[in-house]
Amino acid sequence: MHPPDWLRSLGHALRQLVRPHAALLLRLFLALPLLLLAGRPPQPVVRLGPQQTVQTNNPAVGVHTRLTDEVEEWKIKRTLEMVREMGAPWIVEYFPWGYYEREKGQFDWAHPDLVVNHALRQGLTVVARIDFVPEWARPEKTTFRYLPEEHFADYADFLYAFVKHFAGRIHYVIVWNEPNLSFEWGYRLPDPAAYTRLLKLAYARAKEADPTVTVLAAGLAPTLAPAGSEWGMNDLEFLQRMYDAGARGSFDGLAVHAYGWVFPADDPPAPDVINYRRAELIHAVMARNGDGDLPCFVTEAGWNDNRRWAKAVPSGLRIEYTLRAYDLALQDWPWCRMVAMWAFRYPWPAHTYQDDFAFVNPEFIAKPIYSQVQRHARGGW
Amino acid sequence: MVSAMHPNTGAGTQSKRWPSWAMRLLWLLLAVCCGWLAWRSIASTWLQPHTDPTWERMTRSGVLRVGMDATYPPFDTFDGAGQFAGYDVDLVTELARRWGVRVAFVNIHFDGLYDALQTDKCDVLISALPYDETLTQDVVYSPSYFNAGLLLVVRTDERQVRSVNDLGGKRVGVEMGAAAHLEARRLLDQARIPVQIVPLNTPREALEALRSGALDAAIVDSVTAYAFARDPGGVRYLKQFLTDDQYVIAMRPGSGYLWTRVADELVRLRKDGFLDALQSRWF
Repeated sequence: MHPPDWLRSLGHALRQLVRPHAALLLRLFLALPLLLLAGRPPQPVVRLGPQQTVQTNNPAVGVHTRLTDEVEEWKIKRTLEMVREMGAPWIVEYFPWGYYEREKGQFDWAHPDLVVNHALRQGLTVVARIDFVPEWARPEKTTFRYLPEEHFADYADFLYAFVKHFAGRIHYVIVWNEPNLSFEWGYRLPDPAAYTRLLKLAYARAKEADPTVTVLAAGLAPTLAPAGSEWGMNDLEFLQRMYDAGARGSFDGLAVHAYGWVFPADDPPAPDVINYRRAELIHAVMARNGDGDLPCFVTEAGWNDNRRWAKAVPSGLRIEYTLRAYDLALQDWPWCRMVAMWAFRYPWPAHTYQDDFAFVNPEFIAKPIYSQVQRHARGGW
Repeated sequence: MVSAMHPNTGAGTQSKRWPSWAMRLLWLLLAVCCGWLAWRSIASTWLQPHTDPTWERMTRSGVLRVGMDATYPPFDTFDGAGQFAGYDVDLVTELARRWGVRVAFVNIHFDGLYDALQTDKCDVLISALPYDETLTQDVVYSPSYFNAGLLLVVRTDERQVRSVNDLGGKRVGVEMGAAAHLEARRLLDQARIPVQIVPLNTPREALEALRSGALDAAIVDSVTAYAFARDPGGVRYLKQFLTDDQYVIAMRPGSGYLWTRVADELVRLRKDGFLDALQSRWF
């Protein structure tokens, strides 16, 4: 059976059309896979990798990471790998509300998902500090720390959404940061009663989202500010006034800030001294108010070895005090779950004394304190 | 090329060539342009305005306002009488003397120095201020007047160690956890020089151990090295810096004339031996 004439004519016409351009068409055909590859959406360059576990002799070792402003995924992953390799099972990380809810009810979890997923893959436990007021939740010309009372519920709603989204991944959240400083309270006088109202609302909403989440009251800035100071309120007084305002029952644990400044980790605590063991005085306030059984989490601590900052110590002492602080928490503070030293690594240098709190520089070069903590976590000095 | 364009040559293309007056005009225009460009270049190099807002304010008031954090001896500190003292104080006082003005020091915490400069609380910053390449859009830096980087120090009778490459197998003292410790580790891990790192509590301890023979070398900052080499001595430093930590004077952008004057004076002060004398006086 022969094909019909019209089909033969069509075939002939096609051959006439194609034959002069056969080589070109062949090349195009061969290039087709490349074109298809180029048209695909970009695939992740960095992968989560296999599940890891932290090897450590001190389960209380933690660090405060600063991945909030870290853009590149490989740097997020590398930072968290280095935390694990150092032997720290805990990280505290800052999750700014204003970054993730730019419009009421519109959430963008892309970046925090990245950080949390990498942290979990490295076997780390994440403690999430949540504050930073979005523009829509505060009056104009106020700072991102200014949360008016009429927007307390919005913060609590965000906490609900955050806890719900990260249920099963994040088990610890901190409500606000250092509310006893005027700066952290939007340059208003610190107000323990107002903060307690915020804490109560936030606690209820967080538990609504995930009854198993541990809600921590904010770490207070260790300060000896005199009564009536416009800059801050003594942390011991602020905590007592929180209890007076009915804070008991509105948190499952307390975040504690315990900087050592120039004093050794063992320096005895006293109400008029700011040192590492001031954390014991904070816990004593809790115990006096019937919360002695609640755990404390030291979410900021550490020493600085800047050469020209008055509150710094020589590098060798910084290492010695830091190692002792980790040990002291494990051995002598049964109420303390972990100690997170400030700060593991910054995305870029601040060019101030702040750089000398870091364990690793922005280029991922580990400072000697990193290796010493690593040795300590592996059981040596 | 000119002859090729001449109307009497190149048969067959004559009708397409420009007339000679047009060519002359073209060359004239080119010459004017070149002259103008040359003048611009000369003017920008040699005929700068002899002032800028900071210089003008300083000469008008007769006072150079200097921002300094006086907590960093021997560069920036107070003497027994509560007066500003130190290497930087002497340096800026000499600069002011040469310019016929007096100095008013403004004591500012180190982290607030740049803000103070930007908000016109002072005219310059002299405060053992390290050069910071990330701030060069915000401030203008003078050339360096002092390098506080790390130096390799050996005993005076040491003849084998002439550079870090000779440190293989040697015991090298560093301040534990500090920049010298990092540098020694870099030599070991990256440069593959098998040094034996001996961490000690302070750079001075490292130098004392070196002098006593317990170490073969030490890596310390230049200030400590200069001071120890002079008193108690027994050690010498290799001139090549292992790292740079250049101290500079910072000025506001737009202080171009002041920058020129500072840069010129620093050259003269170095040539005159003034900077060496300062070093001997303070370290």
